[in-house]
Amino acid sequence: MIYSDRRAGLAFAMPFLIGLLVFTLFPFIASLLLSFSNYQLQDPIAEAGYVGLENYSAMAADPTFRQSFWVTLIYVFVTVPLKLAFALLIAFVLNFRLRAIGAFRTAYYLPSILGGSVAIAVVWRYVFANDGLINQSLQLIGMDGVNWLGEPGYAMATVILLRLWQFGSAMVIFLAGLQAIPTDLYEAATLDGAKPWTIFRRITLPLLTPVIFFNFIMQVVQAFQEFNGPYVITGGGPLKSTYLLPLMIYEETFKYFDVGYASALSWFLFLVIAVLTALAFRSSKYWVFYSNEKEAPK
Amino acid sequence: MKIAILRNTLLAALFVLALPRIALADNVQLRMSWWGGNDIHRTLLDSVRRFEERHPGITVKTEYTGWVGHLERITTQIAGGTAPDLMQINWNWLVLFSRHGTGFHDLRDLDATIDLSQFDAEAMAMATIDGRLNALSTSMAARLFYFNETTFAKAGLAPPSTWDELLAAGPVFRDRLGPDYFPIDLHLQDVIALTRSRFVQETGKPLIDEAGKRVNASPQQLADMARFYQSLVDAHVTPDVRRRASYGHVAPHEMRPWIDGKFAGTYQWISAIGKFIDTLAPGQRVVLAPYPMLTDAKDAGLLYRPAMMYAINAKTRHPRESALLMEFLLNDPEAVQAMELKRGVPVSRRAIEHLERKGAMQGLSVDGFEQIEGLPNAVIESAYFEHARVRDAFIDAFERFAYGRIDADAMGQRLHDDLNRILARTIR
Amino acid sequence: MSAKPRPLRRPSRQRMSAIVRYAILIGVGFLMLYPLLWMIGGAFKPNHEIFGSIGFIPQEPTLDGVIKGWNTSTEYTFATYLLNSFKIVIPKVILTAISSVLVAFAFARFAIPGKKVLFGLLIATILLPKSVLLIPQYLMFREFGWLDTFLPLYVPSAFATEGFFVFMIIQFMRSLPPELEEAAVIDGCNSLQILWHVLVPMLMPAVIAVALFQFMWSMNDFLGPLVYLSSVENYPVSLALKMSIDVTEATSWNQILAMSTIALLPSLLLFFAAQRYFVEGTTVGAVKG
Repeated sequence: MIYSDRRAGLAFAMPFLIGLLVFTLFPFIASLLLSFSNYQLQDPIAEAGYVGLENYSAMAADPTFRQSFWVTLIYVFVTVPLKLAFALLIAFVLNFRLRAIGAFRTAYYLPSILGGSVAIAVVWRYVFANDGLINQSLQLIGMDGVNWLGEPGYAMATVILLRLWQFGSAMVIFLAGLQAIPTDLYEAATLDGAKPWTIFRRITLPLLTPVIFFNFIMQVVQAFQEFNGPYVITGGGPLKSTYLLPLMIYEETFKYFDVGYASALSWFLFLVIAVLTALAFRSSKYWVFYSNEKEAPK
Repeated sequence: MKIAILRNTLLAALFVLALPRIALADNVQLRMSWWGGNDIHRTLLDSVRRFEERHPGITVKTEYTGWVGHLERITTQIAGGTAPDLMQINWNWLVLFSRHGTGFHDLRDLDATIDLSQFDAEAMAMATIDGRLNALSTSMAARLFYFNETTFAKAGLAPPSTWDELLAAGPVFRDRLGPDYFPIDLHLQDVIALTRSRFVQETGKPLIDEAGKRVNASPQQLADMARFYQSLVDAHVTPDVRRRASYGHVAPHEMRPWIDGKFAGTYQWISAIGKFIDTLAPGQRVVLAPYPMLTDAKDAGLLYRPAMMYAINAKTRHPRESALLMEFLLNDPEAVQAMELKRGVPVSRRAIEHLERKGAMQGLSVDGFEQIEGLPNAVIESAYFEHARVRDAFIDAFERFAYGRIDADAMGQRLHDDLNRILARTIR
Repeated sequence: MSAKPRPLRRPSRQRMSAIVRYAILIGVGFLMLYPLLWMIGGAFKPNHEIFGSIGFIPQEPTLDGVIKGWNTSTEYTFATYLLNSFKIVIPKVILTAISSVLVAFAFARFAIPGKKVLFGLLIATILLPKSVLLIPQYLMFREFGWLDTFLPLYVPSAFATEGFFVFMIIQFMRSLPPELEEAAVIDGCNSLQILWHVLVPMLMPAVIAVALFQFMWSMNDFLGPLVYLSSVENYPVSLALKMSIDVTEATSWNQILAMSTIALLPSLLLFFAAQRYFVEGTTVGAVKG
């Protein structure tokens, strides 16, 4: 229902409007302007000079930036599909008249509550140490330990595994999506003689697409902003193999004090996320099926 | 009636607001920050307490950390206007924070409180920008070669005094003591400093050409630096990166093999060697070795500069009290006595005199000081050599080379280009 | 939303299916939780035992790590740091709850001018990467003189800057039956009264979910405190933990694991006490979206 008092409505929306202006739009524009400057953090703002697109051309010439962007892309395009797939898989397994479904759901959800913390990142550093939990378990089954934190490829694996460990929140959403599918659809299909795989492909999956879409967007946006893991576990190394873009932005600002350059980097990151999100939304017409539509797409 | 009440309320409010100020005028609270190992923390905390006893109206709040992350912290504080009154700073930070000389308080304004006559003109020149004295050095430092005499004796060797002897020591250690023993442990930072020293010995030029905003070494020369490092690794003189990394994210003086004597040497600042001696397991002795020189070298390539300096926050509200504290720490017999030679030989003449009278001018620090005095030491390196970006560019390049990701020539080329790019942007 | 079982198949196949499912769930669940168990167990082990085996039950239990961990190797104990965390998180949670409800009310129940655009902006802020706002916000707070205080960390929450929570409450509000509100309008109540007396009680589950999520996320917040706080005495748990692992002797592992455990304790306890709300909260936003 809608109340008629529009002025009250504006009043209630006021905090958001102020917040939007002061804490979002203004910094957003300021960030763009800073990216055209050579401002150094320790100087007073008045000393910032205009340098046009110099920061952006420096970015293009900077091998560290290219490396950082590359490893960020790898990180996002590995973790998001894996995390979603795993979450969906477990949600399936869980979607059954099981006893203790609540306990399992709790067990899987807990890591996603704690996973983003420094405490867990610290534990992760120990778990993957040379004589840590993982290596000892590998040795128990007769394999050699791996130099997780010392070798460039493996260090990325530890950061990826940290994110995958937190699949619980995505799983819970998938589970709710699965449970929202009316069972008479399944019954009707089974009566018609449909095989489980067909049921999955023709009924479950299409009806899940809105949830998959939602999860996908959220996961991509979050993955691009990962900071705690690389900062605490690997420090961006070894050899900058885990030097994700948010970490580079942080170091450019607070270690090298090059605010202009860091702002250019952050705007670049924003554009990448914006483009990917826009593409996802655009493509959703083709594969996301809302249950109030009559026909499935494709 | 209302106006009267309003006026009285305002007056009362002003009075109440003024109260804390009045109360505080008697007691000044200073903030001081420094970095160091545990021995330095203990010493400075003790000196600060003595200072407070000497000056009852002043209390000092201390903030101290290890070396890692200290620059980031100070930058954030200076950038945010929350910097302490008295700060320990690194000499090359002057170009970061005080390009025009106004980043820190001009100590000449405080010469009624600080006895500047104890510091010679050269030392002060290093910290004077545009005629303003920004900081005073506690002591000067350079990197020298220190070795674990006990382990060397076990290998039947004397500590090396030339580059060739250093290279020859590696196989002896491996054959006589075992594959876990190395004559010296070089962190990548140490490698860079060491190869720089050789470069200066070969060419007589500093590595960074500050006026020209470029690096003086050619890609080939940088590649040679990498190759020399490789020869040290191949000759079992220093452990390779992977082995060092397997001990985890530990400071060199806290690594097990150093403590046990398996890594039997270090190329370290004379102001920091105390940390290393502190952690050694008992029964072992560290000695200073002669500085290896190439036969035609006209300069030893020492990176001789202030070990650390004290500076006063340009925006401090208590310049006089901060100056009193600085004067105490640098010149007062009690503070000098406590610090002794833990940070190397002090720059202050009065401090040196006092230590001489007490017979404290002996030991490794003095030996190091005398060694430096005896070496040809005219080439002055640019402060930008230790700029965060430059330093990281070196470490990245050497790391890549050390992990076998890139060969020496490619490393030299890439480092050359990276450095020129960075220097062109950074030197203003 | 209760679990709806799959249609029945022949009994033995169903049992097979159940066994397989349980096996997977228990196996994966155990692997997932093991690092946590190991962490808690390690807090009570002597140092030499920690990397000795993969078992998490201490063979020689000791409180040494926990005590040293609580005291930390810094000038303050964990009590200070926990207190700082709460000083940040509690205001943040309260302000978020209040502002999110107010703004959600505006969006869900009023025809504000430009509503569609504003709603689009709301969604956009959820997708906006925080790194692009970080530097200007830092400079802005520096000009205000708010550096090294807790203000930058919770004041923005008073302005509903976290769109996700507003969105959650909007969705929840849309699903509420309008009869009670209509009745209140007829009775002559104004919108504020309706909000407070009619809606808020019905919104409680969503508000609690918002509060819980904000609590968890804020307790975990690291970059914010890292950037804005510089005095050790103002450090919340996340910063203190990071500093401790840099400062503590390299081999005091049990101390560090103890510190991690203590750091996670508030979130753990709250989670177990209020699980239901978490799960419902997560799904409200997602499924109906």
